[in-house]
Parts: sequence; C-alpha cells; structure tokens
Amino acid sequence: MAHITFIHGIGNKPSIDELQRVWERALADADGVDLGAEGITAEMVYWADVMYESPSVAAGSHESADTAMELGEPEVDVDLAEAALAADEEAWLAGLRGKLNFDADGDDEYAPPMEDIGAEFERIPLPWAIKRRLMKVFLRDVHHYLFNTDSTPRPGETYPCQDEIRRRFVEAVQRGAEQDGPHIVIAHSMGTVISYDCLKRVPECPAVDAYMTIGSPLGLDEIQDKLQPGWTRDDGFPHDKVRGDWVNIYDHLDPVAGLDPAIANDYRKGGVNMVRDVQQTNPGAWRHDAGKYLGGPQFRGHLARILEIESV
Amino acid sequence: MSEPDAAALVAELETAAKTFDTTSATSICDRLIAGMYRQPAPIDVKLAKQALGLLRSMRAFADMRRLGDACLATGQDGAQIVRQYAQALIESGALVAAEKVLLDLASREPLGSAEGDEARGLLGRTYKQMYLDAGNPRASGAKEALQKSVAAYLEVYENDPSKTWHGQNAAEMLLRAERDGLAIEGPDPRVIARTILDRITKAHEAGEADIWDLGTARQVAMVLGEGDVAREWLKRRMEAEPDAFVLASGIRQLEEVWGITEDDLAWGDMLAVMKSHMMEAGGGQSIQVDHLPPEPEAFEQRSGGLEKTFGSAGAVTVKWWTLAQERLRAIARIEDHVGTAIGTAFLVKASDLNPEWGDDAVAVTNAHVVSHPPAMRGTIEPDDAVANFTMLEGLDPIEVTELLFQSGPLDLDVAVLRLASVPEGVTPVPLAKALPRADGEQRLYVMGHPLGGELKISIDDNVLIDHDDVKVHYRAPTEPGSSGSPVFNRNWQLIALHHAGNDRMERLHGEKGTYQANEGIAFKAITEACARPPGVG
Repeated sequence: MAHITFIHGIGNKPSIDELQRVWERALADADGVDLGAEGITAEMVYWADVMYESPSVAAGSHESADTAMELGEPEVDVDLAEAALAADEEAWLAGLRGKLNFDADGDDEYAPPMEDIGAEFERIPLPWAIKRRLMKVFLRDVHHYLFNTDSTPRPGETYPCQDEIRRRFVEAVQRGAEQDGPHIVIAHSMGTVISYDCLKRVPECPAVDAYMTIGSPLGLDEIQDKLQPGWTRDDGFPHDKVRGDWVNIYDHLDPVAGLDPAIANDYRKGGVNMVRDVQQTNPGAWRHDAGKYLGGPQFRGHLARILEIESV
Repeated sequence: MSEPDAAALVAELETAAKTFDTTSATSICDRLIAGMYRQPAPIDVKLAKQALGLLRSMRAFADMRRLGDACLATGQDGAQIVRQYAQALIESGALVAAEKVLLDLASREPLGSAEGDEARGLLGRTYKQMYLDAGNPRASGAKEALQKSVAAYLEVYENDPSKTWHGQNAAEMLLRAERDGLAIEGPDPRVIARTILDRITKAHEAGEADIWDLGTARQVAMVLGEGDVAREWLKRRMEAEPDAFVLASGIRQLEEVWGITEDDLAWGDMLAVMKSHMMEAGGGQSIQVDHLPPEPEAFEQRSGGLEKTFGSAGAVTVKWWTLAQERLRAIARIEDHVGTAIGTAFLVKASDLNPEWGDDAVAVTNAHVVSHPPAMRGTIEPDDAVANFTMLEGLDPIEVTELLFQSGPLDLDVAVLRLASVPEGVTPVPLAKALPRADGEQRLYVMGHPLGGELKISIDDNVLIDHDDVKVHYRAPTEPGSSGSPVFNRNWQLIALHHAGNDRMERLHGEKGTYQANEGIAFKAITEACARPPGVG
C-alpha cells in the first residue's frame, strides 16, 4: 500500500510523534482519510528541533487551532531585525518584507493606519500582533534555511540549517521509496520550500509518485531566487523527481500562501503549466493551519484520488 | 509488595488502560493483589484509588471488584475505596451487596461531606437500577425502589444545590414515575431541571463546567423537553472527548431511564451519536443492536437536525453510525432448519470474489459452520442451512442453494454460499483495499451473532495486533460463537473473516511464543483463492 512523507512548516512544534498524530488525526477526522485503517504508512520529517530548543507544549503551535494563536511571550527570539546579516541577506530580507505590505520587524502591538493597509490585508481577519509575529517566524525560518545559517538550538549543538534539514528530508524520502506502493510527499508552509529544494536541487533525493503542497510560499520571487540554480520559471517543475501530480492547495486568506497563492505559472515543465493550483476555503480566522488544510474537502479529494481510495 | 512495586504495576495498568488491553489488566491485577496479601501494611490509598479508577475507565468491573475486595480485606478501607468497590458491584449487577456496602458507608460519612454525598448518590443509583431491572412498575418492591432512589438523590441535592448530578437524577426518576403512572413523593421535576440548567449554563459561561456538568445539562434539558438545547450540550460533551465509562453512563441513562432506541424520532439521534463515539473510545463491551431506523430516508431526515447542531463533526458520527447500521443489515445468522444457530454469515458481491459468479450478493461464512462434507462436529451441510437476516423485520430465513467455494478449517476456513434470494435494499459489504497498519493503534470492529444470540458489534479492546498475508490477529475478545463474522476497519470496509480465538495463539511471521488473540482470515487471501478455483475443493 502507499506511503506518505509529511514535512511540517514554520515555527516550533510539539514532539515528532505528537505532531504526526495531530496531522493524521486531522486527515482522518470528519469522515476523512484514515491512513491507519487503509494500511498506509507515513513518516514525519521533523526539523523544528533544528531551530528551537525543545518541543512546544501547545499542540500544533503555529498550525493549531485559532485559540493557540493568542500568542504570549515569544518562545525564542525570532527577531531578525537586530541580527548581524551580510549585505545580500539584508537585501533579500528587505525584498521579502516589502511583500508583506507592513513592517514585520516593528513593534508587535503596532497596527498600521487604515490607509496604509492594502486591500489584500484588509480582508485578513487576524490581529496585527499575531500577523506580525507569524511573519517574524516566517522570515527567520525561511532565511535560516535558504542561507544555510548556523543554528544552535541547544548548548553545544549547532547545525547548518539547510544541510541538516536537507539530510533529514532526503533520508526520509529514501526510506519511503523502499515501501510498497505509491509514495507521496505532503508538505506544509516552509516544508514546501524544503521539499521542493530537495526534489529539485539535491541529486541523491529519490523520486516520488506525487507531491502535495499546502499553504505554500513558493510563489514568492524572493524564495524562487534562492532556489537557483535549479529553479527556472519555465522549467521549475521537478519532473525528474515527481512522477505524477503536483497539487498545490491554497487559501487566499492564508497570510503565508496568500501572498502569491497560485504557483503553476512559476513552476512549469518545458514552458507548460503542470501544477494543479486548487483553492480551498479553510474555516476560521487562522487559515494557515495545517490541520485545516488537511481537513478540507479539496485537499482530501485530491489525496483520495491519488491514493485511489474511498473514505467513509 | 513495596510501594515502588505497586506504583510500577499501576503504571503498567495505565498503559493497558490506554489500549483497553483487558487481558493485561487482569494479569496486572493478579500481581497487584498477590503483592497486597504479601505485605503487612495496606496498599497506599492513592495507588489503590488510581488502580480502581483505571479499571473503571476500561469498564473492567470484574477486576475492579477483585481489587476492591483485596483492598478491603487487607485493611485499605478508605471511603473512596469503598465507594469505588460499591460502584464495581453495581456495574456487575450485585445490587443488594452494593446497597449494604453503601448503607454502611453512608452511616460512616455524614451528609454534606464529599464521600457522604457520593455514597448517597450511589445508593440512589443502586435503587434506580433495582427499579429498572424489575422491568415492571407494578413488580413487588419496584415502586419502593423508585421512591428510595428519588429520596437518596434528593437528600443530597436539597442539602446542597451545587450537587447537580444528584438533582438531575432525582428529576429524571420523578419524570419516569410520571410516565410509568406511579405516584411518588417529590417536587416537580421540571422545576429542578430548570434550576440546574441555569446553574450549569452560568458555570459553563465562566469556564467552570466539567465534563459531568455537560452531561447533566443535556439530561435536564431533556427533562424540560428542549431538544435543541439538549443537542447543544451533547455536542459540547462530545467535544470534551469523554472516556468509555462516561459515555456508557450517558447511553445507559438514555436507554434504560428514558427507554430510547436509535429509531426514536425525538431523541434517537443523540443515542446514535453517543454510541458511535463509544465505539471510537472502545471500552469493555459489545453494543447490542436490535433497532434500526425504519427507513434510511427517515434517519436522514431526522439527522438533519442533528447535523445542523453538530456541524461537520456531528454529521460524521451520524454518517459513520449509519454506515455501521448498513453493514449490520448485511449480516445473517446461519441456522439449521429447526432454527438452531450455528454461526454468522455476511453478504458480499459475488463478482468481488469471482467475476464468473455474477453481480448478485453471496453469503460468506466459515467452513466449520457450513461445508460439504461437514468439516467437523457441529458443522452443517449447505442443504441444511438457512440465512436469517435478523435486522430485516418480516423476512423469513433464506435457503442456501449452492456451495460455490470452500476451504477447510485448517486452511482458509471459508465457505461461499449462494442463497435462494438476496434481501432487497441490502448493500453487500465493501472490501478494503489493504489491511490496516499493524502499529498497535488500529481499531477493528467485529459484527456477529455470538453464541447464536442477538446481533452485536464488538467494541471491546478491539485492537489489531499483527497480520501477514493470510492471517489477521486482533485483541477483540469476541464472545464464543462469533464464527463467520466479518471484521471491519474503521471505515467499515471488510478486512477479514473471523474464525477463531485462543489464549495461546501462535504468533505470526515465525516469531516464537504465543499470546491471547483472535484470528481472522485476511479477506484478500479469500478473494484470491476464490478467483483461482475451479469449483469446490
């Protein structure tokens, strides 16, 4: 039967077992796809410990229910504003900050005047403090990965982020390739950047049968720029490593994916659009939640189609 | 036994409780009890209380009784221990013994103290059970038991109106007395219900309501006849993920005190939701199913209201439970011509087994239930067998006309039977594409007629242990006589044909040793064999 390799997104996470349980449950809940009952094996590529000292206590953290977004004190300093960065990194960050339409490094409590808020953001019913904090986490995690920054999550333990996370992903995909049946990668948020990077740019990463991205920031130019060499707009589809579909599910009001949600035109194969961009409306204010993506009808419909199963 | 030893055993029990591993729980209890008798001092009260609580959460009342007995016998007779012991007595039907133990406890613990109030509440529960067990309001002692039940509950509630559970029970029993035409002394149950509902609503708004409060609020809303309010409270309670014991209490209250069945148009949907959650939670019993919605459309229509209240989560459980009921309709009791029950059979689409057999449904059972020549003593010939679909009212047992395929008890233990007719409107059970993951966390569901009795769904400790290509081992202590039952995954797809259970089942994959397990034949192995024949043999 099939095998699924999951990879999580930005921010700290609960322990690997708990996180995988949360994801599988989100998939199975409400008459969804019950991997265990269907005999489908799965593995979570876990990288939160590369950037964070210890697993978060609140289940799901940045991916959990709306209530978990009532953020208290930051668990770690995720502020890149005062970090000493090289000139190219500063330039890159400035570009990405510009996309966010507000100053992500500002005072957490500051809300911009209404006339400064673009129509895009006006529609997002999230408190500014939450949005800004999320974007800080996003900027930091994506920066550390793409620039292979050293991270010391615990005393005496230092990782070059990209090298370490790439190694974990590629090894998990190698294990998945040894299983029977189709092998699918399901990636969320920052996990889509990591999985794409490996599938497109790491030669030893084995091929998979299908690729599903949810809540992905892969549409952003700044991220695409850092996926070169390898990525080009006309030949960005990792056709050597994705034998079947690449389905990209987004919610317009997801603050991460919503910046540039449809990606088919950015990841073509020989100049032809190949990625299936699918819009899904996640419930509630916090639309970036992995659980909400996994629980949505469009995502589940495509997963069931790829797995050739019927759920309850 | 030193305290660390006892603590280690209780920790083991906690692990067993998480997976409803009642077999291990019994063995842990044995060791705990043996250790208690070896020590000069009684077991620590906290450990004893924790162990009894764990057994209660698994509904392992026989073990709970044994452990309670040992605690009391070795001098650990704290009020909490006595109360839990009494609870085990009630749950296992020893009502007179429970009454004596609780009367003694109530004389020790004053009204208004935590344990005194609990003891009186359990006394109310004991008398309530005596009344319900009588099954006849005019039976000798029945009215007296009902009056005592109301009095015990009311004594606590009137002394302390924050004891809403006691008040709710008093209100429900007073309402029951009205329905049964018995004149019982007491206040208007609706006044009690309104007071309690207001109180819990306030507590809930202040974030102070616990899981029992949610159940109490649902039940008093029912006393007031406020269906939408009751469903809202049920939703809140299900969201709090109650354990099997909590769910069973609610189900029992609906079935026994209210006399509700799933086809009850006013309240049956709530029972369906609770039963489906119970099956998810697992926990120590089979659910007997003897009521189906009269028409699927009627159920659909009725569950519409529930879906409105429950949103997608509620719709799921109703849908899931509806699917379970659809499977039940495809299950028959195999009987001989004089009605002796032999085993269970179920319908599958013939073409799922062999394309040449056509699109009609055929019945599948064990070869040790039906085969030619009879595989063993007690097996009957196809000519002597009929299929009795007990869930389908007004349908006579259907003759077996042909043995399409069989494989002996030591091989696949299967017989495929063509019936003289196929009941209308019954969906054959669908086959799973693959066996569930053998990761110790997958639940299975076995449906059948244990010992030829009523159709039951086994939800007891039903965890998949291991499988290979032919055999599936699961820890679902199906009652004896479940031969020929279908084994389903959580999506109600067929994965195996149940055929045996053994305390010393040999492990799979050539591993040494044995364990307590049931064994089914992987249905994929059966479909492959059926596609291969020619003919029987």
